[in-house]
Amino acid sequence: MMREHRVEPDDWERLAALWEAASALPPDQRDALLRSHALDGALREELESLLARAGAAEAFFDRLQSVVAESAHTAAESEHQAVATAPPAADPIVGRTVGHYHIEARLGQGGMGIVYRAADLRLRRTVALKVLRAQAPDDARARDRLLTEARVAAALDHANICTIYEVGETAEQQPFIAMAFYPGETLEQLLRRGPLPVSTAIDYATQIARGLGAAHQRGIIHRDVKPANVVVTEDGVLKLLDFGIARHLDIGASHDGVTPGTIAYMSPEQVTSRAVDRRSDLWSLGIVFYEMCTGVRPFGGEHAGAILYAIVHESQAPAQTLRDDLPAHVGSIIERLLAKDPAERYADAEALILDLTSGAFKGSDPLIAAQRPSMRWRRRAALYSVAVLAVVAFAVSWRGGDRPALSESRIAAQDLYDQGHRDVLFRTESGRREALGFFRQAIAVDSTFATAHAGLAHLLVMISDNAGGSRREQLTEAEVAARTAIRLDSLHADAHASLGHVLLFDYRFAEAEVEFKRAVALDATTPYVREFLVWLYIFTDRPRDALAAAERAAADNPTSATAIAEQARALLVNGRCNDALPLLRRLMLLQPPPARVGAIAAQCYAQQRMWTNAIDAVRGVAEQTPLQGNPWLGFMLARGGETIRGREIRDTLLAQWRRGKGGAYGVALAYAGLRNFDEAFAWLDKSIDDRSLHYNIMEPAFEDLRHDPRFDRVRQKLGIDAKR
Amino acid sequence: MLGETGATASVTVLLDRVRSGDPTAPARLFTVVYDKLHEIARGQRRRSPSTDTMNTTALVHEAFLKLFGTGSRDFKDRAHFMAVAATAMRQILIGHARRNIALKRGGGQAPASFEEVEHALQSAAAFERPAADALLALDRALERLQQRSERQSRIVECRFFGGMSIEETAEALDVSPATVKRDWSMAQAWLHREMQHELG
Repeated sequence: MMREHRVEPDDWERLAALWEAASALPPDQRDALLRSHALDGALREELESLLARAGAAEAFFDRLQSVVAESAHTAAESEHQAVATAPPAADPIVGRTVGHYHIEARLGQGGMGIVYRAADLRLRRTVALKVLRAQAPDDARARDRLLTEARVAAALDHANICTIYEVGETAEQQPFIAMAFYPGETLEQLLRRGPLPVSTAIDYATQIARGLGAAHQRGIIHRDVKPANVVVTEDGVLKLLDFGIARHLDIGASHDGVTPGTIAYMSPEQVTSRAVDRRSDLWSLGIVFYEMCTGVRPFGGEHAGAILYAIVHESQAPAQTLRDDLPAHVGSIIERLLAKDPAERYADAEALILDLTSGAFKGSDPLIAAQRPSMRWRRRAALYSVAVLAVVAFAVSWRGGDRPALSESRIAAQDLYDQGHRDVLFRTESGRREALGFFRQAIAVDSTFATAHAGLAHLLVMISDNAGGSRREQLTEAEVAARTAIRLDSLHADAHASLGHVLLFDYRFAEAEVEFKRAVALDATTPYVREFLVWLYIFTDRPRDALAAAERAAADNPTSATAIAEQARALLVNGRCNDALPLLRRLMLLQPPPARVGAIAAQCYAQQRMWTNAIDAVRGVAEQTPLQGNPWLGFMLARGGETIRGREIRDTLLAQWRRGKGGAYGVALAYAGLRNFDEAFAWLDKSIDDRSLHYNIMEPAFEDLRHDPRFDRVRQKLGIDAKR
Repeated sequence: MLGETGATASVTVLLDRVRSGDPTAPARLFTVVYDKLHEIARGQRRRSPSTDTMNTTALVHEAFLKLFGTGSRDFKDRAHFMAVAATAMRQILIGHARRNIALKRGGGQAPASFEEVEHALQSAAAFERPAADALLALDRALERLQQRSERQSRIVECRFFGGMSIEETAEALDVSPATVKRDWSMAQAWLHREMQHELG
């Protein structure tokens, strides 16, 4: 019996149509229908297999539903019991206001206290509020220490660490922590369903290591790394909770009894009450990684005593013996994390991240394989220097640094770069401007810092209108920055990616492609490089290459919202809106969705003439850009029949352009929406000169224009082949 | 304290946003519905601990009445609301099945085979192990179906988890009743086969 899914999404609609026709016929007439449609083998086989079981399936779901439906009430009740171990009626805090938080519901209870969902009345957002159970509620000094530590942890700002908004005390002097509320589930809940795919396990381990690395660099040890303290958000980003507060609380060894769920992740040095440093967190991560890969904990058992004994004295079953398809290098990473002697573990999170990420590298591409020996060495050297830097930074802050290492100016530059290089800053125009400031400062402190030059180049391309200079001048400055980065370090992958990024928007496509490919060859994990390639292929009218690159990007980085968005874009330009929309809908649930999703989704809906959805899609993701100046909104309104509002937006864009804000491209797009093609072409021409023209030109919105003979001039001016 | 009217106004606004296609609205309404379903289940058990419980449809209707009051809202509204509630019910039922299995099995024991599931459905009507295993298999198959057809997976959610009629489903998803009928029967056949393969 064949077990794989024989029909792929492409054929689904066809299958549904045939299903309808065939299921209406008596069985003996179906053959004729199938013949008349000259069905190929797989589709026919699929249809027949489904038709054969239609009756049985209906009866089956009928019975299953009646069993399930009758227990809906019990399920809702038991769910509730599971969420809150005690009924909220018994919890006097629910419904009350603590500080400026209105407590709405109890989410769960752990060793550290009780977690509530609360509304922040001041900022009108939902938060998670953890009311802590301190070791000695009456001991003011212990409470102060806890608050101090929690405030230090609150200063951590990293994509993989839960954001803490506030640390405070209730009227009863119970400490509380207000933190970001992430829809999603904990890794513990996720693991109850069994082990994860290896690539996901590696991705998660890397994300946890990144969060830990950021904390360790600031001298903060987590001390309680375990799946229950990791939230997996709906977009696949991991958030570490509860930094550094473990030691102040009576986790585990309390009147509640010792819970295996907590002690199973303790390191040998924690068990034996020896000194604990960051390598203890790496041990705990090792246990989590082992569990993600195999579905079981290496040191299990019913009794706390047995677990504790095993942690200190026994060696775990190698993870590969529990999972055949586990790559050898993953097994050895786990072995190293679970070395009983901390000195035999990774020295720090960065060294671990290096091994986790370089493993995926192996044997992927002959070009890369050829590059690998020297590259690996360089990557190692680069990361070790970061590691040394972390140690030095730590040492400097304690005024005890005795390691000869990088200059202090490099340390300061790296710190400034880190402040600028936060994904969140890149998402909005104001964030990008802030990041620009940090990068410039980083270069001012250390002009030989290639990474900061590359980052500066990226930002100059991304920032739409620089204060003062024109877009062309800005691109020139970006090119200088990118070339400086390469001159400083010719093997720096992101330096090449940044040059490609500049060249792409300067319409020097062939050169850009060379740089992107070099970046991929140097380090296939260079951020966004495959997404840049998608843009390049779309711009140069190679939709199939774009789709291949986008699928690769999404496969390499399945949790990246921008990679998924680019996959949807590539599907869109290949005329596959039906496949793009499910991806886009998922992205639109993110808070906030990536800004680019709006234009992609709107074009998909426009293809299906669903104008309301198209307009809502643009509105739904518009960041702070005022809607009246949004060319996509103008386009969709005009095409959807609201010509007057389309014209209003065009006028706004024209006025902005006259004031030197915004490029000619937006005006061209608005005119295209209004089907004023004479003007649209005139403005497209201008937009090539002022470098505001975008790869969107090859997307469906401009389809009418591309069929116009005048489009040849656009192609010529850009140097894009008319073939294909 | 928020008065009842305040709460009603905000869910009304949310529902309007769902209907006008605001992409973030369903997730927000979902949270409200989810909480309300719990609250009803809890409240009823307190009032009459031993009497019969409500089935899916009754529970969802009750939640709608509690949130929107009687009379004021039309059929369309109820359909859109129920579609969101169906997603919440799916989560609740799957969570229940998962806990049921964890409790009964504690690890180790293999899930019921497809044959066992069919047999159990013929005889017993309790939400015990084979049905719970079937539900988890259905949940996973539904995720795969979603990759192939978002619409069909939504239809299954509405019909199966939300206990919605063909007409309500059609209204909520803005497709014709004929499409719902066709997709529902095709999806059932497909899911049936997937579940049989998975459970063996």
